[in-house]
Amino acid sequence: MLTAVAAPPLCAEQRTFLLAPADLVAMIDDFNAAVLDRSGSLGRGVVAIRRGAVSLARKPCPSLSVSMERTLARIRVLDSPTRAALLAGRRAPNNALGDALALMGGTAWGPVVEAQTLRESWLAEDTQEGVAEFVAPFERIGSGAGTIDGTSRADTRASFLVRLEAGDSPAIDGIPLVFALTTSIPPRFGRRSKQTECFLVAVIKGADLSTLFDLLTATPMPAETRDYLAGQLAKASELVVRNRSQLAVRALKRFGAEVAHGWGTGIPAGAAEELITRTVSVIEALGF
Amino acid sequence: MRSRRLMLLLVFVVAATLVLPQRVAAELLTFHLPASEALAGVARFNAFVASLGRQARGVKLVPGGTSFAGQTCAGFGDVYGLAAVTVLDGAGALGDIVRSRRGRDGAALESAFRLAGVMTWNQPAVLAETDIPFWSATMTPHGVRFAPDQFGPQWDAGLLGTSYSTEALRFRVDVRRGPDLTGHYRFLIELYGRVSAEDGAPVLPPERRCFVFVDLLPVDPSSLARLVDISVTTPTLRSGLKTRLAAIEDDLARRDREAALSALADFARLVAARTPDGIPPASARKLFDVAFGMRRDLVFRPIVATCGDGLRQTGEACDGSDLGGLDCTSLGFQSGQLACRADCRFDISGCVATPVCGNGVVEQGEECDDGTANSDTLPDACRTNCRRAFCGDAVIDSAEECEGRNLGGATCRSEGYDRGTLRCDVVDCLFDDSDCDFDDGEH
Repeated sequence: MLTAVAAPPLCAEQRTFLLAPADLVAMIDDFNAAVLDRSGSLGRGVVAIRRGAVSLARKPCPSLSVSMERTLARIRVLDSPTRAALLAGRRAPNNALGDALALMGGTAWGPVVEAQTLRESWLAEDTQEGVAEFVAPFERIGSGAGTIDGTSRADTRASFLVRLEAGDSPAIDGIPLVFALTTSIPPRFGRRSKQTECFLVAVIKGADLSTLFDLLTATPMPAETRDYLAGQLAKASELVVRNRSQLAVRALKRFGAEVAHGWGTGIPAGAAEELITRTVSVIEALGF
Repeated sequence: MRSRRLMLLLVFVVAATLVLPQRVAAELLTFHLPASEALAGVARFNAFVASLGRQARGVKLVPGGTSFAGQTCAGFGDVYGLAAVTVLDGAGALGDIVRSRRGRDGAALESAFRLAGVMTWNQPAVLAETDIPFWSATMTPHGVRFAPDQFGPQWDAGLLGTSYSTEALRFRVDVRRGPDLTGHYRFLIELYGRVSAEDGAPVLPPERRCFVFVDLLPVDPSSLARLVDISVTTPTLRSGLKTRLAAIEDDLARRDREAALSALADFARLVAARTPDGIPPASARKLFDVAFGMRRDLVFRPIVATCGDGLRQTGEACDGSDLGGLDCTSLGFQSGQLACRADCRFDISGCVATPVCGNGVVEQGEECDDGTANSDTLPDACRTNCRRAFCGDAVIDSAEECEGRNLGGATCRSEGYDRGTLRCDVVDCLFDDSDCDFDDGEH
């Protein structure tokens, strides 16, 4: 099922990000790892290990990959660490959390302009300012349809798309976005289900033509190859503007095939691998 | 009766097939473990063990990591340079390796790593090599150990920090289980870290050990072929991809690495050209991941050392006059002439060690060294700066009557005078009675 909040035309300043269930499962573990790694510099009492979860400024992040009964119930992409502080505080903002997320690299970005999901049972919503939200309606959690849990770590199909206004020169190796992930444990022994919202920072790589063009510019290669690849990207951009996504994908396939041809010979191996992987993501985003 | 027995036997066989873990037929797979990935395993293990809750009691937060079951996993790569990596053959090894009271630590770690789903593999490793300078591989009873060739507490040669990213450890093992859902094999590894001796502290550098896990993709053509079978449904496309993989295997059999690389690029080009209409993007990404790993394997060059050719290569600390730019001081000694032995290991007999006060050995620049018996408070003891007891060390030694203002309770009166002020001679630490007097004015 496809639900869309809004779909304005792609602008040069906008960046598109894709999220697969595997990304979301890994995101919590990776963030917990980074928090523990930096626990010595985040400030006294900011990090704790409590009840089987790493907590940051009193907000625990229980892992989805360790507990097989825990499922993901809501995904929120926030426009800044300050927004996280506002959402996490009950009466007053949890500024300690906002500060900690900023120290973990979380930065402020322009407003979210589009949020879509292809994931069964999930809906995209824009009920709150500065927040792109995806929810799995409560009654469907645990039904199996669209459930995201520890077993989803192998599911690398892009399921969520977020497009937002980026700054003037967004980093090509990824943008640190602030997320709020709500996980849920099903009811048992007469108790109600328990939900926990984890606030974290994850570096997400852009999946759009602008990012691909920036990456191409930064990659050393023979001029002839560069001209050809830049031509394919320009063609794809033009076709996207004309709403001919399928034809744009064809141009991108030629782009990817040419990069693979020069993999490790005309184009440094590591850079070529990054270009190939990103091309696949852009193709996936265009098919969303 | 007989048919009933047969039925029971049949039920048992079916149940055993369903319940027992599927044993993969002997399959040799090659893995690359970059040094950076081994170090990153510390943070991942910390996050995992912190998430176990009641299944891992006693996990504590320490600055930069965790402390659990007697091991502290923090500071690897920055404070504690990586000095050895051992790929263990399974969680069962922990019971033997980790020594603690009643074996509790080993049992707790084994339980945690079993929950993590680490691999077991059949010993011995078929291949183990590395391109990290100074490092080489040796087989151990529980796995394969990668470490600098010549390792000593005062040497920093081969100690890895976080700057090592592309250098890797390569090993080929017979895995006893299939991969996880993501196609990765989770290996248990032991990291040994040590603080650089160059910090200059005249004591043995602190060290640390941490068991972690790493998730690795195999890099063999057979693994990629299996992935093609799973993820490509169009018969002609699958056949085209497998033809290219067969070409890679042929090239490798002929030891034509360049041709193999070209065939691999051709494989990648076909995948790129058929995504998404022939191969779903998610599958293409997995195929590329393994193909990228295969390329790294094809260009991996562990230098096969030829000792005696005058060129220092991986596996050799030195070769002839090629000492790798090192001398006695870079190995932690104070001075001297470093040389190379016939077996391409350093000859340090001409090096003069930097004295380490407190190691119980009287070294250059030291007057004494009684190890842990060194003391700054006991009379006549060797002092903690490895100097013999001396006048002025604030302790009244056997040859002394006093020290500074410490007269040991003595006064002019106790020394037989009637009045005056007793002092201590700063040169020989004997009483200075020049200001002591008798009542009648005589001295």
